[in-house]
Amino acid sequence: MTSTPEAELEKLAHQVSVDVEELAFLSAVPADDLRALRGQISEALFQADRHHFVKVAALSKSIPSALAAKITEFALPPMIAARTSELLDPAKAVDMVGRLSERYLANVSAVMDPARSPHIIEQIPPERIAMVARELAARQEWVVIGGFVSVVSIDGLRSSVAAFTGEQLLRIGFVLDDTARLGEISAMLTDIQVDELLAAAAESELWRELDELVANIDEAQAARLVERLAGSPDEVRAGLTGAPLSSATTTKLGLSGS
Amino acid sequence: MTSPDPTLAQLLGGAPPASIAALPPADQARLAEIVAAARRKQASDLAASFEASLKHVPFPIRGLVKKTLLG
Repeated sequence: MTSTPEAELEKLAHQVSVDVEELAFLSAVPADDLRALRGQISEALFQADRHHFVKVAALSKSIPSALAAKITEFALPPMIAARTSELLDPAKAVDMVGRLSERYLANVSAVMDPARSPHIIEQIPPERIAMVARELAARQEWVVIGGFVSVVSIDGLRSSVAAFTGEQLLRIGFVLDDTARLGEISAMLTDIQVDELLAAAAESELWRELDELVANIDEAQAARLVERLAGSPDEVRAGLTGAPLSSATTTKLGLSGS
Repeated sequence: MTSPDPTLAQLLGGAPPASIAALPPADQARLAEIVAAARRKQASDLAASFEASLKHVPFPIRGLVKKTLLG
């Protein structure tokens, strides 16, 4: 399930390194087409410098993982490492992931297109995923995390969700590549995280983020939001009541007419 | 209906999605320039970082790494 055109534009802007305002002329393009365009650009960028990535992958394959990891961290810019990983045997790539520093891995993740290496990402141990997720969240790399969430294993997702605050989860949820996973994420949230995300929505006016979340959760999960909202501080309830949320959200959260 | 901008199609390695191909020519040209700029940035980032990174590679393996990265 694709996210909104607005979220897709943010992902596209991240990919081509421009401010999202510069892509305003694409605002009428449907989300599915923006997503398809992003896939085309990703492939075009990969093919443009493929010869570099092939050479690096050949070097990595010919030496032991320990040495390859050392050389990678010493010599390879994160972008090259990210693209080269697509050409590596998954077992070798996962072995190397376990040997690289958290900081370097986060740098690689920030420029990686997770959709191109799902076979590697789904095999990375959950604790390693959570470590990198925390580092990326500290850098506010929501688009990057949103791409990874679509391809990590269920255990990796659980570990990552546990590492985020409610506000971070709300921001990540808006730019998920696969919004269907919002339901899974919602089921993993603690009461504290639910309270945090409701408070963050009210305080930082994260209306579109809250709309996206509510649109992708089931009735039971929505009922939990309603219950937590009822027990939340006055300023949170006041902030959400009358906020410019979608009618579907106000109905689901019982905010209409209140 | 507008047809796909040839430069954009070339940069993407194929025709863009229908709604992109239907954009006014000026918008398609603008998108082509953004994609071209992303490619130029990737190429210059690669070149710059290869050179810079080599300085940090331990001497015993510098030759091997340099040969691999720079050909």
